[in-house]
Amino acid sequence: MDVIISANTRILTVEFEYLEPETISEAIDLLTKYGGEAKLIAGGTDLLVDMKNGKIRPRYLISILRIPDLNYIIEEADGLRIGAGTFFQEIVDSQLVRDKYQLIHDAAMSLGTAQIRNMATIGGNICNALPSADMPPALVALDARVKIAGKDGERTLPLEELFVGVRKTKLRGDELLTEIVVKRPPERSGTAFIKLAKTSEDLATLNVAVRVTVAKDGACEGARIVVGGGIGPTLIRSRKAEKILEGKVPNETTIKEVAEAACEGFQCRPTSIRASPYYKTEVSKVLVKRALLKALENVKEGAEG
Amino acid sequence: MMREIELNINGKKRKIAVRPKDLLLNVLRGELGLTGTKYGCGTGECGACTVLLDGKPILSCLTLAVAVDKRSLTTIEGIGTEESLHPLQQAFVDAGAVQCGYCTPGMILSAKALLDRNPNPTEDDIKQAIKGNLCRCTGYVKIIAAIQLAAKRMRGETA
Amino acid sequence: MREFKIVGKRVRKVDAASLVRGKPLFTDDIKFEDMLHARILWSPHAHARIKNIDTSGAEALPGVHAVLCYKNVPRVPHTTAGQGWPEPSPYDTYIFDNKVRYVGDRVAAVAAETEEIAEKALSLIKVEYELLPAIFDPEKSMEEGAPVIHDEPDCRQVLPLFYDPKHNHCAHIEVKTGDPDRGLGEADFVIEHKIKNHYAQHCTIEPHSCISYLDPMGRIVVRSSTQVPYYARRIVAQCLQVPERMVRVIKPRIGGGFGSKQEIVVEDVCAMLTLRTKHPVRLVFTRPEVFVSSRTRHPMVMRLKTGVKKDGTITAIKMHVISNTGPYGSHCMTVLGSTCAKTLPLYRCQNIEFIGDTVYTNLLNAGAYRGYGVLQGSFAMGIMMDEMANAIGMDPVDFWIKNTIRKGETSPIFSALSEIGKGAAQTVDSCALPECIGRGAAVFGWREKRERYRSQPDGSIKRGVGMVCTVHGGTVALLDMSSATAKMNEDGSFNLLISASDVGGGCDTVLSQIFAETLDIPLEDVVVYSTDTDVTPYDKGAYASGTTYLSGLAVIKTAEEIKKQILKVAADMLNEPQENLKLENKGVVSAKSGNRVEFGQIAKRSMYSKDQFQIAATASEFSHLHPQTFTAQFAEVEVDTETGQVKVLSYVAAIDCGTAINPTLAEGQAEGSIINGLSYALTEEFIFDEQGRVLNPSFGKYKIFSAPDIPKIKVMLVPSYEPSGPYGAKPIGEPAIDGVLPTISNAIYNAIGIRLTESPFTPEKVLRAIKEGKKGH
Repeated sequence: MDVIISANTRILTVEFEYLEPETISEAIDLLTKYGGEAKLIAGGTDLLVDMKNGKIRPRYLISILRIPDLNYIIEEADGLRIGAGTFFQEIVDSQLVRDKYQLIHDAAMSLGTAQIRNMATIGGNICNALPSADMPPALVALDARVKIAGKDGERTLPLEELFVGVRKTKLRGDELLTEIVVKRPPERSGTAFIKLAKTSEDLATLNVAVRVTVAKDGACEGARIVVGGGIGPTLIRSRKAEKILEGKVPNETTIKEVAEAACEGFQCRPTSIRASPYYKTEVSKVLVKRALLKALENVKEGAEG
Repeated sequence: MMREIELNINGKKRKIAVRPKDLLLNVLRGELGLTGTKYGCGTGECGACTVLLDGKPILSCLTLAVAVDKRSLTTIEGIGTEESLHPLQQAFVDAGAVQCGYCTPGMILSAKALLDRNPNPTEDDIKQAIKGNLCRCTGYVKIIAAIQLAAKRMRGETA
Repeated sequence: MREFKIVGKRVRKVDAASLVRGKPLFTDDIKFEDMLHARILWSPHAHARIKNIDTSGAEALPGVHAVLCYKNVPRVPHTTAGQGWPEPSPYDTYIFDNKVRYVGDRVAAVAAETEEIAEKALSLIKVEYELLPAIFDPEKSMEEGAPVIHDEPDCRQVLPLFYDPKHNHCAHIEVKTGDPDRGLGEADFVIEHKIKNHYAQHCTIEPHSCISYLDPMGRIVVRSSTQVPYYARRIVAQCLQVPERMVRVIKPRIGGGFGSKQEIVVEDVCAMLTLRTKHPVRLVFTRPEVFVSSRTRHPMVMRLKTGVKKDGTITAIKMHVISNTGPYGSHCMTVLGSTCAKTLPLYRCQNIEFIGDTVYTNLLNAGAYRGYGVLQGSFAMGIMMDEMANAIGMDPVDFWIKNTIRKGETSPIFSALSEIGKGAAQTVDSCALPECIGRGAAVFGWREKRERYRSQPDGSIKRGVGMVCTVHGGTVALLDMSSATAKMNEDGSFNLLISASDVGGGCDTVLSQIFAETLDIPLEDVVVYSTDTDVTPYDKGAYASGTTYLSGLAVIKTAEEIKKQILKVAADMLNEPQENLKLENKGVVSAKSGNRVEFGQIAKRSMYSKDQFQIAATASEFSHLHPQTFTAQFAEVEVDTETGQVKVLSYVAAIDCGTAINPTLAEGQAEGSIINGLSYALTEEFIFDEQGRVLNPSFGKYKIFSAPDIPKIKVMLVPSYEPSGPYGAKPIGEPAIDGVLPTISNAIYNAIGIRLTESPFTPEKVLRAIKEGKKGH
């Protein structure tokens, strides 16, 4: 674990150039040109802290803040498209998101403070790839896909496949995340987001995002169960747990089984600042159980996010 | 490598030469002589460096000065006038919400951003709005009361 | 209830208007020309000798003006503790030593033209360390064979106090009153517990800051965020080996102290750099440095054994304490002493045994922190009282009422021990504790909630209530002294010059109120100035909750002197004997004739016209005894038994601080104290690795409460009148925080039947305890 007692958090000592492309292709050109010496920067709330702590020393910072094409929230027939450069406060303020995609609203609200939400972008939060990030579990629970643009063109992949490890994504050096597409959950769906942290302003020790879809007879038709926090190098979506629910009318035993399955395969760090592996494993099960119960309660007629 | 930027601070346009790595907090406190904004942690966790960017609270310790070129900023010095205090400032004074005063500038700016958006906040709204401003002296109790008092006065309601 | 004109009123804090405007009032808000920036190189090792240090690379860097280390700085053993002289703390610290004793200890310092250059220079300093084994466990630190942290020949105590550094043993206190063993024998129930509190950081939002410079006469001026300007002057002079007259300390507004700035943390090195470079030098800690390299709270291991009879009589209290002071001994004896001397007088028990030891370890440097041992002692006793009440089936409220000291009573502890050694007998002259308990319980709804929580609902959420009483004696009796100077201006106003060092609590305002009350003038006619050691007279500084009380008494004395002078001039002007005259509304009026003369007229006359002299006075007061402030605290908690999370639903504190000179400020102190106590109880925690390094030196990972975390909280000031205090006032700065830990432990016990004796009560601790079925005894 890094020891930062000598870090001067008051100043930046790294020398770098600050570049402000105005289009996505300009940004790609710069990334291609400067390769490993460049870092993309949006709000800077993670990147500048890492630079102050001496963890990252880029020679070029490529800002995405002046690219208007990255900032939008657009409703489609079957989902939502959010530009990677959209600020969290904009997501929180969006009536559309609050009405139809409650899960995303809740995750965005739990993120940081008013100040951070005005600076941090959804793309930045995703690309920083911290397993404790609040937004990714909610997005994965809504089957989010991400659009990536690079010198060889565009590609999309499911968000859950983007994360490779702590602070590691599948993005290549010349690529940037441009859009997040979220699917509208089917009718008779309910969602829930639960975050456990030490105080109200804190990174998650654990977070859980859940979506369940229920048939008219009460049997579960589909589910997404995602656990994040300090439980491994990336968030974990448990297809095994989701399968247990399928076709069953959830009762106390089923939910217990689901929770147990959802919390298998954690790779908690043996020493952690926030909680021990024992605590995280035990309590994740509780949070998954509670999120499921809450999501089931939230099931309403009409598509619910 | 110096770059000339123009900042609109508290209604006045200021042209200064900065390096890309110069943080807004240090530029405000240094070249611009606006020492009301404070350094508390440098990592965006205490809120003492809060300023308003186009009326929205941000953390100047994690903002590059070059990133806000041509933008409009408000610091504590831009709230109220020499002759009279902004209702928030007056309410902080009246309600005993100022002890050491170090967190106060950031706290007031966060509160102002809240009341500008929502003139009738609940206690919960207030707590959420100042969640990112740490205070160790007051326990937040009188700060919350001061913001409620200011909101009331700004709505024209008598005490 | 005595009514006063300004005392007891919720007047606005005199500096509030300038603070809300963000005026440049703090240390780092002023720049000086040709100012250099200092940065310190810290030790990455918990225990090591510096075999060699090569600063040539750093010195050669353009823009660097000085690099200091043990090789080029005089070795002056001293203590950094902000205390009177001679200090009751060992002289075991050096500006720089050739040994490092914890991760975060000083190794070298650089002064350069920009902070960036200074930072770069640090990286060019080459240090060769010889690693030594380190000791982190305070319970093992005194054992034979443990690494000796202070093996240097020149560390010593200057007072005849216990000191055995060869065994890392830097303080030892033993107190015995009555016959504790017999008392235990007579008990129906004997309760035993090991209770531990943990390291904490004060988290003042303003870091430790200092700017020093040479004035045109070559004197060293130190501008610092310090609670103890006069001690800063003395210790800086000592370290720089110059007489005190060559040093001047100015204290601007301080952004919080809570004890962390009752130490010489930055001033010595900053001043030394100024001396060497002849430049103004700025040294401001970064946040990680505040966490690791300033000061912390003493963690203690406390073993308690108490005896109680079925009728509720406490028959004996035995308290054995091991206090961990870290690598240096500042406040090592006095915090330990307070754990006994200021905590135990609360209890009506004649049979008390206290054995305390403070030990060195290679962990964080502990010093003064709000509560100062009384927090630790109250934690322990608060739990024991609750356990005893439960054992005999008595409601805690009744048990506390039966066993706490009252007005007119005394405790054998008063004469047995004080913070600094020998005690001073005293009786309690004011005590509204019964009212605190009664009113607090009523407002809190104690009986009703206790009844309600006898049976818990099904499900994972359980609720409970807990309560505790505390006492905290202010000042250090027979030692502390405060002074004030006042002089009159033509318009009838006064300059009030004090060194009481407002840390934010508002003592500037409170002292102005006291002064204004005594002379019957409006508050705006008091121009208060604090602190400049060239101008404002000696005051011990802001600690031991003594500013309202002791500085207040000094201010009254000063005002009384001024009064005499005013009456003399007025008598001459009105041509009436002084007996006829009294001060009224910024003037002097004759009770006989009704004739009146204004203060302004008196001032102008004495300044310009006849028998001219400056109406002015300086007066001092020293503390004869400890005025006792009492609190009764109540908490309602909700425990989530599946996640271990503890949520505080409501908190009520009823506080007897005598007369509250300014109720708003007094409440503010109490509220801040309690919220600090709550996050200490629940969320604050230093995490160390096996090499003694702090893993979480940031607000992101060391969690203090934000606004949404606070419970519903009510502070009630229950008046009494302390005859020895200024207008009946008693201390308020520390008492409230002392009671929070045990109140929460007691409430958790009430909710889930599990006794937590080690803070912080994190969700993990609670959950593990629940799963392990840990119960009471």
